[in-house]
Amino acid sequence: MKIDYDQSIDPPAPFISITIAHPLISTSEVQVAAKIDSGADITALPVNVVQQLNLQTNHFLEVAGYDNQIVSLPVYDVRLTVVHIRVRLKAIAISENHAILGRDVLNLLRLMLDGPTLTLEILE
Amino acid sequence: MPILKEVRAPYTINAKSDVVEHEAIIVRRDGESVVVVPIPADQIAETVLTTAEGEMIGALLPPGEYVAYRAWKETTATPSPPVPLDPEFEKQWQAFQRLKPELLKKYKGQWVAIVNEEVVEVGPDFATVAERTDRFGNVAKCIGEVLEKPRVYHLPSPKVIRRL
Repeated sequence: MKIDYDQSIDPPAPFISITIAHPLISTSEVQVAAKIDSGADITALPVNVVQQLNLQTNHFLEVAGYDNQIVSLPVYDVRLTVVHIRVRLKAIAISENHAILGRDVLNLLRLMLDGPTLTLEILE
Repeated sequence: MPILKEVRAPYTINAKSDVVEHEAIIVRRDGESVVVVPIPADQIAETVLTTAEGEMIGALLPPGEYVAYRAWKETTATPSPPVPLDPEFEKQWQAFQRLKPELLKKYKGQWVAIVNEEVVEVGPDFATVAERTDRFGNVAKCIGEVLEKPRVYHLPSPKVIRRL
Protein backbone atom coordinates (compact mmCIF):
# COMPACT_ATOMS: atom_id res chain seq x y z
CA MET A 1 0.00 0.00 0.00
CA LYS A 2 1.36 3.42 -0.97
CA ILE A 3 0.35 6.67 0.68
CA ASP A 4 1.29 10.14 -0.55
CA TYR A 5 3.12 12.43 1.84
CA ASP A 6 1.12 15.32 3.23
CA GLN A 7 2.30 18.15 1.00
CA SER A 8 0.34 20.82 2.78
CA ILE A 9 3.22 21.10 5.24
CA ASP A 10 6.73 22.21 4.45
CA PRO A 11 8.71 20.03 3.99
CA PRO A 12 6.17 17.32 3.11
CA ALA A 13 5.88 14.52 5.65
CA PRO A 14 4.65 10.94 5.77
CA PHE A 15 1.37 10.40 7.60
CA ILE A 16 -0.67 7.28 8.15
CA SER A 17 -4.18 6.77 9.45
CA ILE A 18 -4.45 5.11 12.86
CA THR A 19 -7.37 4.16 15.08
CA ILE A 20 -7.24 4.83 18.79
CA ALA A 21 -9.62 3.01 21.09
CA HIS A 22 -10.38 3.05 24.79
CA PRO A 23 -8.73 -0.07 26.23
CA LEU A 24 -11.95 -1.38 27.79
CA ILE A 25 -14.76 0.21 25.78
CA SER A 26 -14.44 -1.29 22.32
CA THR A 27 -17.18 0.88 20.83
CA SER A 28 -15.25 4.01 21.71
CA GLU A 29 -12.68 4.71 19.01
CA VAL A 30 -11.31 7.59 16.95
CA GLN A 31 -9.48 7.69 13.64
CA VAL A 32 -6.67 10.19 13.34
CA ALA A 33 -3.75 10.99 11.05
CA ALA A 34 -0.35 10.17 12.55
CA LYS A 35 2.97 11.59 11.48
CA ILE A 36 5.73 9.00 11.10
CA ASP A 37 8.50 10.09 13.48
CA SER A 38 11.36 7.67 13.95
CA GLY A 39 12.99 10.17 16.32
CA ALA A 40 10.20 9.78 18.86
CA ASP A 41 10.60 7.16 21.58
CA ILE A 42 6.90 7.14 22.28
CA THR A 43 3.61 7.69 20.50
CA ALA A 44 1.69 10.89 21.18
CA LEU A 45 -2.01 11.57 20.64
CA PRO A 46 -3.87 14.81 20.05
CA VAL A 47 -5.36 16.18 23.25
CA ASN A 48 -8.85 16.12 21.72
CA VAL A 49 -8.62 12.36 21.15
CA VAL A 50 -7.75 11.85 24.81
CA GLN A 51 -10.74 13.98 25.76
CA GLN A 52 -13.08 12.35 23.25
CA LEU A 53 -12.29 8.85 24.52
CA ASN A 54 -12.27 10.05 28.12
CA LEU A 55 -8.96 8.30 28.69
CA GLN A 56 -7.79 8.32 32.26
CA THR A 57 -4.23 8.95 33.35
CA ASN A 58 -2.51 5.89 34.71
CA HIS A 59 1.01 7.16 35.20
CA PHE A 60 3.38 10.04 34.47
CA LEU A 61 6.32 9.94 32.10
CA GLU A 62 9.37 12.14 31.88
CA VAL A 63 9.51 13.48 28.34
CA ALA A 64 12.31 15.52 26.76
CA GLY A 65 11.91 17.71 23.68
CA TYR A 66 14.64 18.72 21.23
CA ASP A 67 16.18 21.07 23.81
CA ASN A 68 16.37 18.25 26.38
CA GLN A 69 14.04 20.08 28.75
CA ILE A 70 12.24 17.42 30.70
CA VAL A 71 8.58 17.66 31.59
CA SER A 72 6.45 15.18 33.46
CA LEU A 73 3.38 14.28 31.42
CA PRO A 74 0.33 12.14 32.07
CA VAL A 75 0.29 8.86 30.20
CA TYR A 76 -2.77 7.08 28.80
CA ASP A 77 -3.49 3.42 28.18
CA VAL A 78 -4.91 2.85 24.68
CA ARG A 79 -5.43 0.32 21.96
CA LEU A 80 -3.95 1.47 18.67
CA THR A 81 -4.63 -0.04 15.26
CA VAL A 82 -2.38 0.73 12.32
CA VAL A 83 -2.68 -1.17 9.03
CA HIS A 84 -3.29 -4.74 10.25
CA ILE A 85 -1.56 -4.39 13.61
CA ARG A 86 -3.39 -3.83 16.89
CA VAL A 87 -1.36 -3.03 19.96
CA ARG A 88 -1.89 -2.01 23.55
CA LEU A 89 0.37 0.85 24.47
CA LYS A 90 0.95 3.88 26.62
CA ALA A 91 0.80 7.28 24.95
CA ILE A 92 1.12 10.91 25.90
CA ALA A 93 -1.03 13.84 24.73
CA ILE A 94 0.14 16.74 22.58
CA SER A 95 -1.43 19.99 21.45
CA GLU A 96 -1.62 19.04 17.79
CA ASN A 97 -4.39 17.96 15.44
CA HIS A 98 -2.45 14.86 14.47
CA ALA A 99 -0.79 12.03 16.35
CA ILE A 100 2.92 11.24 16.33
CA LEU A 101 3.74 7.63 15.65
CA GLY A 102 6.93 6.85 17.58
CA ARG A 103 9.28 3.92 17.43
CA ASP A 104 7.22 1.99 19.98
CA VAL A 105 4.81 1.36 17.08
CA LEU A 106 7.03 1.95 14.04
CA ASN A 107 9.26 -0.94 15.08
CA LEU A 108 6.33 -3.27 14.46
CA LEU A 109 5.98 -2.18 10.84
CA ARG A 110 7.94 -2.42 7.63
CA LEU A 111 7.81 0.98 5.98
CA MET A 112 9.64 2.50 3.06
CA LEU A 113 9.96 6.25 2.83
CA ASP A 114 10.40 7.21 -0.79
CA GLY A 115 11.45 10.83 -0.56
CA PRO A 116 11.87 11.63 -4.25
CA THR A 117 8.32 10.50 -5.06
CA LEU A 118 6.97 11.72 -1.70
CA THR A 119 5.31 8.40 -0.93
CA LEU A 120 5.19 6.12 2.06
CA GLU A 121 4.94 2.42 1.28
CA ILE A 122 3.70 -0.09 3.81
CA LEU A 123 5.43 -3.37 3.08
CA GLU A 124 3.93 -6.76 3.96
CA MET B 1 11.42 60.10 17.51
CA PRO B 2 9.43 58.31 14.78
CA ILE B 3 6.78 55.77 15.65
CA LEU B 4 7.35 52.58 13.68
CA LYS B 5 3.85 51.25 14.07
CA GLU B 6 1.09 50.89 16.58
CA VAL B 7 -0.06 47.31 16.70
CA ARG B 8 -2.01 44.87 18.79
CA ALA B 9 -0.38 41.86 17.15
CA PRO B 10 3.24 40.79 16.62
CA TYR B 11 5.01 43.21 14.31
CA THR B 12 8.30 42.73 12.52
CA ILE B 13 10.75 45.64 12.21
CA ASN B 14 13.70 45.89 9.91
CA ALA B 15 16.77 45.41 12.07
CA LYS B 16 18.89 47.18 9.46
CA SER B 17 16.79 50.31 9.35
CA ASP B 18 18.25 53.60 10.53
CA VAL B 19 15.58 53.85 13.20
CA VAL B 20 16.62 50.62 14.85
CA GLU B 21 20.30 51.23 14.49
CA HIS B 22 20.38 54.80 15.73
CA GLU B 23 17.27 55.38 17.83
CA ALA B 24 15.78 53.85 20.91
CA ILE B 25 12.75 51.59 20.75
CA ILE B 26 9.90 52.66 22.97
CA VAL B 27 7.65 49.83 24.01
CA ARG B 28 4.13 50.97 24.87
CA ARG B 29 1.36 48.93 26.41
CA ASP B 30 -2.28 50.11 26.39
CA GLY B 31 -1.16 53.55 25.29
CA GLU B 32 1.20 53.90 28.21
CA SER B 33 4.93 54.08 27.72
CA VAL B 34 6.34 51.35 29.89
CA VAL B 35 9.98 51.18 28.94
CA VAL B 36 12.67 52.53 26.67
CA VAL B 37 15.09 49.95 25.36
CA PRO B 38 18.11 51.32 23.57
CA ILE B 39 19.47 48.79 21.14
CA PRO B 40 22.91 49.74 19.82
CA ALA B 41 23.63 48.28 16.43
CA ASP B 42 26.38 46.10 17.84
CA GLN B 43 23.91 44.51 20.25
CA ILE B 44 21.02 43.95 17.87
CA ALA B 45 21.73 40.22 17.83
CA GLU B 46 21.50 39.98 21.62
CA THR B 47 18.40 39.27 23.61
CA VAL B 48 17.16 42.41 25.38
CA LEU B 49 14.85 42.12 28.34
CA THR B 50 12.24 44.82 28.70
CA THR B 51 11.22 45.84 32.18
CA ALA B 52 8.78 48.20 33.85
CA GLU B 53 9.38 49.17 37.47
CA GLY B 54 11.64 46.20 37.88
CA GLU B 55 9.11 43.72 36.52
CA MET B 56 9.92 41.88 33.33
CA ILE B 57 7.13 42.47 30.84
CA GLY B 58 8.66 41.06 27.70
CA ALA B 59 11.76 40.45 25.68
CA LEU B 60 13.12 41.50 22.34
CA LEU B 61 14.67 38.48 20.70
CA PRO B 62 16.85 37.99 17.66
CA PRO B 63 14.76 36.30 14.95
CA GLY B 64 16.62 33.00 15.22
CA GLU B 65 15.91 32.72 18.94
CA TYR B 66 12.28 33.71 18.41
CA VAL B 67 11.84 31.01 15.77
CA ALA B 68 13.44 28.46 18.11
CA TYR B 69 11.17 29.58 20.96
CA ARG B 70 8.04 29.32 18.82
CA ALA B 71 9.09 25.87 17.63
CA TRP B 72 9.68 24.80 21.24
CA LYS B 73 6.27 26.14 22.27
CA GLU B 74 4.59 24.31 19.40
CA THR B 75 6.25 20.96 20.05
CA THR B 76 6.24 20.94 23.82
CA ALA B 77 3.27 19.05 25.08
CA THR B 78 1.11 20.81 27.57
CA PRO B 79 2.10 19.83 31.11
CA SER B 80 -1.45 20.20 32.38
CA PRO B 81 -3.54 17.06 31.91
CA PRO B 82 -6.16 17.39 29.16
CA VAL B 83 -8.53 15.31 31.26
CA PRO B 84 -8.70 16.25 34.95
CA LEU B 85 -6.89 13.80 37.18
CA ASP B 86 -9.15 11.33 38.93
CA PRO B 87 -8.58 11.57 42.71
CA GLU B 88 -8.72 7.77 42.79
CA PHE B 89 -5.83 7.64 40.33
CA GLU B 90 -3.88 10.04 42.53
CA LYS B 91 -4.27 7.56 45.41
CA GLN B 92 -2.83 4.76 43.23
CA TRP B 93 -0.01 7.05 42.08
CA GLN B 94 0.83 7.96 45.67
CA ALA B 95 0.76 4.26 46.60
CA PHE B 96 3.23 3.57 43.78
CA GLN B 97 5.56 6.23 45.18
CA ARG B 98 5.09 5.02 48.75
CA LEU B 99 5.75 1.38 47.82
CA LYS B 100 8.69 2.20 45.56
CA PRO B 101 11.51 1.18 47.95
CA GLU B 102 9.88 -2.22 48.38
CA LEU B 103 9.09 -2.51 44.66
CA LEU B 104 12.72 -1.78 43.81
CA LYS B 105 13.84 -4.68 45.96
CA LYS B 106 11.36 -7.14 44.43
CA TYR B 107 10.55 -5.97 40.92
CA LYS B 108 13.29 -3.65 39.69
CA GLY B 109 13.12 -3.24 35.91
CA GLN B 110 9.62 -4.72 35.68
CA TRP B 111 6.22 -3.07 35.30
CA VAL B 112 3.67 -3.18 38.09
CA ALA B 113 0.00 -2.28 38.35
CA ILE B 114 -1.46 -0.73 41.46
CA VAL B 115 -5.20 -1.02 42.10
CA ASN B 116 -6.81 -0.18 45.43
CA GLU B 117 -3.34 0.94 46.58
CA GLU B 118 -1.96 -2.60 46.25
CA VAL B 119 0.25 -4.30 43.70
CA VAL B 120 -2.03 -6.50 41.62
CA GLU B 121 0.15 -7.37 38.63
CA VAL B 122 3.80 -7.57 37.68
CA GLY B 123 5.12 -8.13 34.17
CA PRO B 124 7.90 -7.49 31.68
CA ASP B 125 6.24 -4.64 29.81
CA PHE B 126 3.37 -2.15 29.86
CA ALA B 127 1.10 -4.04 27.45
CA THR B 128 1.29 -7.32 29.36
CA VAL B 129 0.50 -5.68 32.69
CA ALA B 130 -2.26 -3.51 31.20
CA GLU B 131 -4.00 -6.53 29.60
CA ARG B 132 -3.81 -8.46 32.87
CA THR B 133 -5.40 -5.63 34.85
CA ASP B 134 -8.42 -5.46 32.52
CA ARG B 135 -10.14 -7.95 34.82
CA PHE B 136 -10.60 -5.11 37.33
CA GLY B 137 -12.68 -3.18 34.81
CA ASN B 138 -12.49 0.55 34.21
CA VAL B 139 -11.11 1.44 37.63
CA ALA B 140 -8.39 3.89 38.56
CA LYS B 141 -5.01 2.25 38.32
CA CYS B 142 -1.35 3.14 38.14
CA ILE B 143 0.86 1.15 35.80
CA GLY B 144 4.52 2.03 36.09
CA GLU B 145 8.01 0.79 35.47
CA VAL B 146 9.99 0.11 38.61
CA LEU B 147 13.19 2.09 38.22
CA GLU B 148 15.31 4.08 40.65
CA LYS B 149 15.25 7.09 38.34
CA PRO B 150 12.39 7.54 35.85
CA ARG B 151 13.23 6.78 32.26
CA VAL B 152 13.28 9.84 30.01
CA TYR B 153 11.40 9.47 26.73
CA HIS B 154 12.59 11.64 23.88
CA LEU B 155 10.26 13.38 21.48
CA PRO B 156 12.82 15.62 19.81
CA SER B 157 11.36 16.71 16.48
CA PRO B 158 10.96 20.48 16.48
CA LYS B 159 8.45 22.05 14.14
CA VAL B 160 9.83 24.80 11.92
CA ILE B 161 7.79 27.98 12.08
CA ARG B 162 8.05 29.62 8.67
CA ARG B 163 6.46 32.95 9.45
CA LEU B 164 7.29 35.31 12.26
